[in-house]
Amino acid sequence: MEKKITKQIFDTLRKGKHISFGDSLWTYIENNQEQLESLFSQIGFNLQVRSEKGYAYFLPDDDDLAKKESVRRIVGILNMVLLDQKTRLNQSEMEQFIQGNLPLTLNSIDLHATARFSNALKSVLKISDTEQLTNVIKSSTSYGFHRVENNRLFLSPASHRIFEYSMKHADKLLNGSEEE
Amino acid sequence: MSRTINFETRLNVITRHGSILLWIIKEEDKSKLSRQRTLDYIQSTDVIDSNRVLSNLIESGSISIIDEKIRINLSVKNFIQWANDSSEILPASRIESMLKDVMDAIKEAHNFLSDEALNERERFAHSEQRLIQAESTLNDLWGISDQNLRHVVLTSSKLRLAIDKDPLSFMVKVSKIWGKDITPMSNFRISSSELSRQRRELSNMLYYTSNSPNVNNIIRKAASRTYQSLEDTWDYLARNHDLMQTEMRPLYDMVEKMRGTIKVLHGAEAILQSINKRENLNIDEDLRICRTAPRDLFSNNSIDSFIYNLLSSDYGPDLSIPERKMNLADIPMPVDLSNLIKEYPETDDLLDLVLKSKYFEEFTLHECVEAVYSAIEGVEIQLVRDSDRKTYTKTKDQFALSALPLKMKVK
Repeated sequence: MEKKITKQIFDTLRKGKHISFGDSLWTYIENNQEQLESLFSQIGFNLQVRSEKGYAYFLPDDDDLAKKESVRRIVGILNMVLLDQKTRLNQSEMEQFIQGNLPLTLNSIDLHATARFSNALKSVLKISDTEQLTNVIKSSTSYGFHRVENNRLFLSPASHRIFEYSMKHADKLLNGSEEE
Repeated sequence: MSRTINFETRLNVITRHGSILLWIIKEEDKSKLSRQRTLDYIQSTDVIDSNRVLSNLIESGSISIIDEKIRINLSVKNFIQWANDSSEILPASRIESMLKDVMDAIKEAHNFLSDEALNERERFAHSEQRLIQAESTLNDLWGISDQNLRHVVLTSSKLRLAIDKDPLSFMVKVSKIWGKDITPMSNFRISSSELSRQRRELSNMLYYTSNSPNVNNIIRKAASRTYQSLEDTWDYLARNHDLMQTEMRPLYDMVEKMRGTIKVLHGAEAILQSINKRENLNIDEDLRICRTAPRDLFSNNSIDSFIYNLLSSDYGPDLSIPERKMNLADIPMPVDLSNLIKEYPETDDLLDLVLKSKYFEEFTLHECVEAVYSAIEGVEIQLVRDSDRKTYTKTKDQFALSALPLKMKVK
């Protein structure tokens, strides 16, 4: 294995970033998955590679978790962006957007204009206006769920981790209400 | 006096009034169709005498009036639908049941040939009748398969256009065709299925009969025809099934993607709902992400050097179990700090204590570090943040660890 690339992968992943298909490091991870898993596990890092979805990340223990508030923000924002686009994009465009093939210009993301998004953003996620929202979207690219290029938002394959988590959350709510 | 109704008359009526018959088929499907509504429609088509047209349709047997409702003759309906390319697809379950009917008829034909309760003439007559029946059903299947393929091709073209206009209806229709009309048909194509096994058995039977000296020429010819028809129809059904799958698979894949999208949006709604209600999203359990500024238990340099050293290790292939160099009794047990802690209940540098202890001479730096950083019950361990970094080594060990010391105290 190449030391320099291995080090680069380690540095990227341990900062909480997800590496996705399309990233220059992805092919290396895919080709050396077992060796990397074994290597990183020796220093206590649990490498998770979702080959079928095209992304990889470190699954941390309790002491090494990212700030909950910051993760909650990006989870909320990306899900709200999806809901907002539901009425603007047709079926195939929506699929393209989720697959990361169709970008959205940051200027077109105006979640504060819709009451139910605005309430969640302002009173819960503490994002008071569109400018702050844009800044959060840009800064949270550090997680690797999405990227911003030329003021356009692209979803990365790793965004599926958020959407899978959201679907699981929906199932939990459903099961919870059925049990009640 | 009523007219004579023959082939020419019926054909003439259907040719002249085919569009009216098509309208009746569509309206009949929606609701019960009254005589007056039909007359009104005929009038709207610029016909001079709508009553006369209606009488012609009734006289020719194309339609009938039962309980004041217009009913179309089933054969006429099939013909008009065929002409309009709007025939309904025959479900796979019905095709399978027709294939079973064919098998049963062939089996009966064979059984009659050896029925000792009948004389030879009766045996042959019954057997021939069953073979004719099987052949007739096979002919029907041929036509039905054609009709189904045409229906699937036409429907898929229409559905492709409707995907963005009415996605829900698109999903329902594609799922219905795929799930009820295409997938179940796959069963008869599996060579290990009961139907395929029966078909091979009966084909052999027919082949044998078509060459048997124990039956007359009529039966031999009938068996030969049925044999060929069974083989051809089977292949034809398989070929059309392939074409139907090829036509519908891209649409079915689209439906699968759409289902995925709907689930994602459903998840997004659930998250928004929970955020607005300030519910716990359980992120620390279900969406664990490394902190962007990693905790400083190890310095970057020590991690780097650790990775570099691990990568430089010369791993041999694990093809054989190497011979032990040590006696079993000499192999160190996992590091157990309990005796050391009893002896030294408090220390400012636990790792240093462990490394220097005579108890752990045989252990590597890695094993000692692992033990020190593991939780120890009843003991309080704290990182001494205001201390300088120390370098920890062990004789005969190629690694070194640069880290802050750990203070230890028994609670």
